[in-house]
This record gives sequence, C-alpha cells and structure tokens, in this order.
Amino acid sequence: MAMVLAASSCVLVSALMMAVAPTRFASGFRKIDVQVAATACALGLGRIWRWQRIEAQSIFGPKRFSSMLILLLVIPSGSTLLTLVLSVLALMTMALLAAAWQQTVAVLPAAQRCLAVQPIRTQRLLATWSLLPLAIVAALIAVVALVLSSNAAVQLVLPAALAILALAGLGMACVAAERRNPHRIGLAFSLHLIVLLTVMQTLPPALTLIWPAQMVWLLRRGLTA
Amino acid sequence: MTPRLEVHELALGYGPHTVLRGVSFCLRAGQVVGLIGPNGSGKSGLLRAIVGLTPISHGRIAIDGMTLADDPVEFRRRFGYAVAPEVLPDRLTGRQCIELLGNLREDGDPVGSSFLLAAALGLSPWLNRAVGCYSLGTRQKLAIILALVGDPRLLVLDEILNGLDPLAAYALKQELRRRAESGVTVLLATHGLEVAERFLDRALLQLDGRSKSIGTPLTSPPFVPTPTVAWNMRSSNDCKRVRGDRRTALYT
Repeated sequence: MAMVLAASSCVLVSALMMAVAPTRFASGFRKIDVQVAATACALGLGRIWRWQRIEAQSIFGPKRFSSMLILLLVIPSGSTLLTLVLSVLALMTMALLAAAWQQTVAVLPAAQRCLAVQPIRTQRLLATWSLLPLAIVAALIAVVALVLSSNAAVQLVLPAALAILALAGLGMACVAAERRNPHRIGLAFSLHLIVLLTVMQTLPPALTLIWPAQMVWLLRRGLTA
Repeated sequence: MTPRLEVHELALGYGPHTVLRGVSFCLRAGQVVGLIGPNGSGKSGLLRAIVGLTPISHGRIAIDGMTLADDPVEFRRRFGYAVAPEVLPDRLTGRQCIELLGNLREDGDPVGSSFLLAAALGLSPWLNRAVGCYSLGTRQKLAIILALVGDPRLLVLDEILNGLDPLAAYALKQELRRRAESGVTVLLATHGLEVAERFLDRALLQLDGRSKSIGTPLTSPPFVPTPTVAWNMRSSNDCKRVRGDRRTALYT
C-alpha cells in the first residue's frame, strides 16, 4: 500500500514538475509579461540565481491561481472548513513550488543559448545553476513531509522524500544533459521515468542501482556536452 | 608567425546538403576583414563553424594555433561572437546580462569597459530595463557588448551593423577600428558594399559554398591555396574592381 501511494505521489509530482516542460523549454522568443519585466528592473548584480528568481516570480499571476482551483477536486467531500483551507493551502504551496522548480531549471537551456560561445566552465555553470532548484526541492519535501505527518502517515515521509528527490534529480540531470537540444528534455525525462517505474513494478530493489546509473550517465553527458 | 585565424579545407553540411567545401584562408592580427556574399552562400554557417556552434564535417579551424578540441574554454577566450539578439534573456536587464557574464567568466572584472561602450552606443538609458522591452537594434547593441567582454583577440560578427542606427553604427565602427589598431582581428559578415569600401581592410567573397577572391591575397601561401584570395579594399581601384566584378553583380 505504501509503495502504491509512493508511486502515485511520484507520478503526481513529476507531472507537476514537467507538465509544461516540452513547450516551456523549447520556447525561444517568449512574449513578455509587462509586470514581470518591471520586476526585473530591480538593480543588482547579475547572477544565475537572480535570473532563476526572476523567472520563478513569473509563476505568480491570476491565470496561474485560477488554474489551481482544480486542486479542490482532490479534497474529499464533507471536510471541515479548516481542513479545506489547510488542504488547499498545502496543495497550492506544493504546486507553486513545483512550478517554481520547473522555471528555475529551465534557465539552463536559456543560458546555454546565449552563453554557448563564452569561456565558461561547464562545472561552474551547472553548480551555480543547481543551487536554487535544489533549495526549492528541499522546501517541497518539507511541505510534503508536513502534510503527511499531519495526516498520520509518518511512515510515508521517507519514501515520499526519496521519490521527490530522485525525480527532481533525474529531471535536473536530463536538463543538464540535453540543454543544447531543449526539445529533447521532455522526451529524455519521460523515457527515464518509464524505466524507473517499470523497474519499480518488477524488481524494486534494482532501483538502488538503476537510478544512480541513470544519474551518472546523464551527468557525464551533461559535463561533456 | 602564427596567423590569428586559420581556416583550412573547411567543409560544412547539414545532413546530405553541403553548405561549404574546401574553404581555406588566414587572418592576421589587426586586420578588419569582411565576409560578403549572397543569401544562402554560407556566411553565417562559416562564422558559426569558426566559433564552434556548428560542427564541421572536414577541415581545421585554429585561433592563434589553438583548436576547439585542444581546450574549449581557452579557445573561446580568444574570440568574441555576437549572438543572435533573440536568444538574449528577456527578463534580465542589460546590466544584469553584462554582470552575469562577467561573474561566470572568472577573469576578474572585465565588464567595466563594457559600460563605457554601452554609453558610446547609446545603450546606457536602457541598461536598467528588461531585455524583453528592447527593440531589435537595442538587443543587437547588447549582443555586441557581450561579445566584447574580456577583450578577445578575434571578433566574429555576423551582420551586426544591420539593425543599428547611424550614430551607433559609426561609434561601433570607431571602436572596432580602435581595437584593430591594437592588434585585434575583426571578421565581419556584411551585405553592405558601402561598408566594405569604407571600413574593411580586406574582404572575402563567399559564393557557391567556396571562398572566391579577387586581388591581393590575404596571406602568402601556403595558408591561402587557390582559389581563396581577397580584395584589398584600401585603394579606390580595388573598390571599382569589386563593383565591376561579374560575381559581385549577382547579388548587388
């Protein structure tokens, strides 16, 4: 039962993280949100994390929040008002964190497009790029752990945390490996996810070998690309 | 003496379609060389191959004797290339773009002179606005400034004068000429024969996937095997010869 729940949460979180990935990553010249553009006018040093933060801010908007109303369908009928409010808050926080993670990760292909001919060491670029997405993943894990703990499902905290960490790591490794061909990122992530789910259903202990192997292969590809 | 840029027997293709074949030439330090030719002749492909954005199918490209395979980071430190304006990050300001590059390049504080150049090109009022608000010409200016960060010894510029207003174009040409006098080599793809006449030292004609030539060779053999030679644009007779050349008439 726990494995099924963990697998379900894996699929849910990965869907949230990569839902808009193919179009988002492949988009070259985007239409500018005037409000976000104005936010970007804040003075300060240009850093990768600042760029990621500006991109993550773009997820806040009426359109985004209205699309989250669908989360109400997840809440069981007959819940008290307090439960309803807390559940909506928790789900919205998780969805926003997942969307923010996806926006910050998408900075790498964009940076690759404009910095490809610059003398920048790949390790340095990847290291600076990965900090903020990993911090967001940590926050997401904390929220999920809080929700599970409050629902008396403490035994699921560790599997859920591992699942989120594994999927986020896989997603970031796919982006790093395919940053020169952003249209392949969604496909690469889907293929690796299918491999993971298949192994999980047939031979779960093999996950401890398969996931590290996938990560090593993708990161090597990312460092040599 | 090692040439600043050496292109030897370069071949380039996309799938079964060959774009360039047998292209060979050398550029010395301090030259301002134009690459001219009709649309689709492979000018941009050649420039992208030189900076390593497009993989080559045959040949050798070396900057100061170093190839991309020797050390990619050191190779890229030797040239500046103005990226296409549409790939600049929309949500960052011009200032943030310049500083981001300066922070990632690890070579001290190379961006100070970039802001001086931004002022010369009339970009200063735009530096604190998001790039997404820029016009094409303003983006072009930013791309040029980013290409010049770190004072590279070779500048590879693809039709950068097209989107610029006359004042900015004049300021940029002055800057490029100043850098050339200090030993920087400039390779500039352009459609403007006016630019070729008044600004370039020499020019390469790109036609049918090969570099053709008229006039004074760019360098002495063996670096420039036939038929690659170039125009010497320093005399008025050469300019007349360019205008009268049958191949030039194909696209003028």
